[in-house]
Amino acid sequence: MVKDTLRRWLAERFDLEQIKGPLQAQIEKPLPKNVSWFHTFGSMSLFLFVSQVLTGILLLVYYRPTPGEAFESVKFIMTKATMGWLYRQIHAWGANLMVIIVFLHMLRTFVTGSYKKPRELTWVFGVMLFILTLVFGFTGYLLPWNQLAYWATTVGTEVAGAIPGAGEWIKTLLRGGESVSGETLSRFFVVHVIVLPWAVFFIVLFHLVLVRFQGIATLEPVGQEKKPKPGEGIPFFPHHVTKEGMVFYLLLGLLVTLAILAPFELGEKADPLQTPFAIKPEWYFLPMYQVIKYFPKLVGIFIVSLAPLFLFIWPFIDRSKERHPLKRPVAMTIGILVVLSLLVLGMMGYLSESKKTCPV
Amino acid sequence: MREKGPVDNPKVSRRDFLGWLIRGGLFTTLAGMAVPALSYLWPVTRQGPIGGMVEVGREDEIPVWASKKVVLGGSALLVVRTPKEFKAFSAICTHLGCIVFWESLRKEIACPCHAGFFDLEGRVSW
Repeated sequence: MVKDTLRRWLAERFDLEQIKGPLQAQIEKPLPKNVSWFHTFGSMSLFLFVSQVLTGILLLVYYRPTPGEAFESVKFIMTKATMGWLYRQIHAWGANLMVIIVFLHMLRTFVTGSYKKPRELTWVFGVMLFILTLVFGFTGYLLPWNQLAYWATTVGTEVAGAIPGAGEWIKTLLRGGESVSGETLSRFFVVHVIVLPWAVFFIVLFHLVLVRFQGIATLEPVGQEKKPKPGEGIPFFPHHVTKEGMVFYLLLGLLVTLAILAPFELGEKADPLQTPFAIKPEWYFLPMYQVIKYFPKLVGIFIVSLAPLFLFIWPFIDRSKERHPLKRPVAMTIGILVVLSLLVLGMMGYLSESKKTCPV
Repeated sequence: MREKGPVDNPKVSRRDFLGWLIRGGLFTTLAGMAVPALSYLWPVTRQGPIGGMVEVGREDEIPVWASKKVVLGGSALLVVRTPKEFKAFSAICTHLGCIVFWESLRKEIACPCHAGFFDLEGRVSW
């Protein structure tokens, strides 16, 4: 009844038939047969992004981005505001899971060779989103203004400062001064809550338009892809959407479980005169940190900054036609080596912490 | 309206010229807005060093072989008292910018971030 009235009201004003057609086509668009559970990592990333935006908005209600108030306001959220602890924990865990899921999404795309022609740009936008996810993590980490946050940011920006030539300039610009201070907090806050969310929103939009426009890649070689005809393949709705719904609920369950069973502690308020022992960056920066520790500073930074560049240009380097992982031994070997070295370096970075007790 | 084609000028038509003029104008406008915005982002930092004498504490505040951290001109310093004299160092570690501390057992300056040690001349010792 209400629905009919509404439909009539809209139909008198808009050409509904014209809108309905393309919409219907999008919903019913068949996906190729090789679409599996591994193809839900992308929508899982989107789910986490939406979760971060929503919990982020809730946190913003009480959070105050000044050195005098930031720590206390986060403490207030965790102890006084009703359910505040849950939103903060879901936001913190969501950030960590998002790094993992976005990485897995990228890995899946790599393994199935989906980045190859004609989808190179989708990959490039995807790499941008991966990097922005890390920047989200880096900027958000400072906001609680606790000891770990303060010193991880000091060390992180110091690393940027070692870049030859523009290093000092970048460091000062990031910190808003010579050391990490209230100016840094303001800058990171603006980037974290305004600049990054909108940048990610628009890039996700481009990314998704490209995915829908070009269709999901199959495992057939470049140029020999067969698009599923209507009636063939897996319908986007309801088949794939159901799968996505299931993983969303799994993620939601995981987020709440982790938030309750493994909460992040707030620790002590930042003290610019007291560096705590065994300071280290967030786990997802550990491989980078380890490389910088291992090599002379400049060589380390050179290697670390080459990595994202390689990710960007990878589809333009690897131009072989095969997509099936078993038919791409070289690419697969490189991929496995990269993942292994990330894991090994990360573990080494993690363990090096325990050795850093003072040898008196 | 008469179409002005490449007849008048075989190299650049009037239409092309106006097109370039408009594009150039838009570019200049945007650049003119971007430059002040970028300089706005550059932090307002104090210029030049701090001069003259500054009091950082009383002598009896720091026992022999003990230390005190002070902030001078926005930068952290470490003051160490030896039996002979007072020594002051920048407390910012040269490695990754952590704040060093006085390890009185070793009688050396220590960095908590990379477990590095510096002697009383500020040289890396371990």
